Amino acid sequence: MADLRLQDAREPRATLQRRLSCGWRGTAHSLSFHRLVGGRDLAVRAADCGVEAPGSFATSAQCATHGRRVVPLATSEDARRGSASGASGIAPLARASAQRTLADRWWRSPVSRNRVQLCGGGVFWTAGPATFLRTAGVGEPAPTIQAPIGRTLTPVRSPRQHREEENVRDGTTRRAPMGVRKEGAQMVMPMPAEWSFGTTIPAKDLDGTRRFYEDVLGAQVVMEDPGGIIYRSGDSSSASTPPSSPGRPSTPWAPSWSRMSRRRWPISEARA
Amino acid sequence: MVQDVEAAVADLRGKGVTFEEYDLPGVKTVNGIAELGGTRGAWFKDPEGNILSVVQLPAA
Repeated sequence: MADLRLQDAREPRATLQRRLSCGWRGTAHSLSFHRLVGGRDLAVRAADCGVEAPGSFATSAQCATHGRRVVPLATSEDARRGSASGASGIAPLARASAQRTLADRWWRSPVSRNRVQLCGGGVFWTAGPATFLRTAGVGEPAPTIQAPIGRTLTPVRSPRQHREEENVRDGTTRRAPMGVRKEGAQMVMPMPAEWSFGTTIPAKDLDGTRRFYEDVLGAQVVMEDPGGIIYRSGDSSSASTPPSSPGRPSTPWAPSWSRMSRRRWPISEARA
Repeated sequence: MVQDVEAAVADLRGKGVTFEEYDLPGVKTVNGIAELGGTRGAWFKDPEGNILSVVQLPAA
């Protein structure tokens, strides 16, 4: 199950930053993510890494440690690698290639276990019962992929199970913070495919846009708050990149629309 | 994802949705629908310009 959050794109940046705050510090509009690991500030700059076009933004999910949201898709290693190919003037198609490469590596990783389908100019991700996505074009505000407010995204594995698996992987027996590998290792957060993910769609005209989602697409409102509206988004969803090519404006991550489930989803469940 | 992308496109068109047309290397839409390795997809925009899509995956 996935959720779609229609969010006021004019939401103050400070609010966005608060939404993204926990172990990860995110500044959505400056397109960078940071994490303090061992005193080092490992920056992941989506705009630099060639993974996404300037104006777009690293994807996010739930923070496994703090139960909040925000996990960057790209690691610092990805950022460094991407920087080499992400010089100015990089063609959208090359970016798409970089996206595919990263997406393939990330989503096929043991921690994600997501199925990936690469199709021509696009990438289709199928993440079990739910997925994620994110979109933003050049010059657009940088919305987040985030868990809907009030909804807990719970990994299938318990923290203890996860820690034990991490210890086996690292060859240690110490208690490691959940989801964080030892210092010096590549920074990777687990992103189990079993999680549910939400998507944020920015809207300057929230009322007008919600009419489209509700009246045209039939989206069911799960809950509302002053910053936006959360919709039920079907039983599964996927992310895809719309076609891009050199000479055309980049169209980075775009959500795919899932058919609305007709099943009612009580707000109480959404807040569980 | 949808079971029948053509039906979904027709349904949404009936509600006034306009689908994007692409003619790019490896991706060409015909009547708004592109086929990519057995996956069929169609893209459209919401009023804010966010690109959404309907996708039909190949039968398993």
